Amino acid sequence: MISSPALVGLGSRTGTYRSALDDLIVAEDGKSRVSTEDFGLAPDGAPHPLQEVFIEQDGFQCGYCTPGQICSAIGMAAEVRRGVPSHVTADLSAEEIPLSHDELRERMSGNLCRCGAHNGIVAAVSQTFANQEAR
Amino acid sequence: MIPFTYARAADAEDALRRGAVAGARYLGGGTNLVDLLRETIERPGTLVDVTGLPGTIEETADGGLLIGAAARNTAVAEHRAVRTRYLVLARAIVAGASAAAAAVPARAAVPAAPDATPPPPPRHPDRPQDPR
Repeated sequence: MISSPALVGLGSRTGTYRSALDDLIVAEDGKSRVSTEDFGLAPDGAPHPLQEVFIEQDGFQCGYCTPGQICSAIGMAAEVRRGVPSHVTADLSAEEIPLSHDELRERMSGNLCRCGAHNGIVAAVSQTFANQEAR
Repeated sequence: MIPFTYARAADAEDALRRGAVAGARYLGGGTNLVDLLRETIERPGTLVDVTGLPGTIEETADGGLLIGAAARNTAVAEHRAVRTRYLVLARAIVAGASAAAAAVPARAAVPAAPDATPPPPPRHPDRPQDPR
């Protein structure tokens, strides 16, 4: 489903894929797959910090796109920490890429929310992962 | 349904051996080939999955950069040498990954991927299907 990408890891490669769109399922055999449910299943049952902030910031209305937003945001934050540039990264050679408002929106742009909760989603992701508050 | 066999190549030699069989096709990033399989435009007898082979990116002795066919777009774009010395390549990849520009998934293998196939011609409901 376009709204529910999963984190897929195989050896040293990990990424977020909108899997069911282009996967050949047999080719996924043996890989680990993480969904939003896994992030909320800490031993003490506590939600992931991003999930808590999603509630705080009203990052959803109907909830349909929320699992995808959560998985994409966590995968995206890992890519930023790794120094993966995006289309809006001004300095490609920068050692550290700040998760600015534009970076966040560009990197999350594959996840649509048809309820229109984008402002809450951006605020939640920014509050959780960005060093600076989204403008 | 069109049955086919699927095998993962253990290494480059194994991939070449399996790929030499008639009707065999390589599965790289899969973004192109899998669509063509679904539309039955491609009907391989055997799919040889080469996604597990190492996607090497190496500096060459003469100051160049050797990007293996199995290297993923994201791996190329985040590579230090690409980000500092081959800015046009890095820019092209991140532009292609942008949902605002086009939907080329980060998992896609670089264009030299073994499964790179020309896109199918547009089809129209009032015309007969392409017989391939």
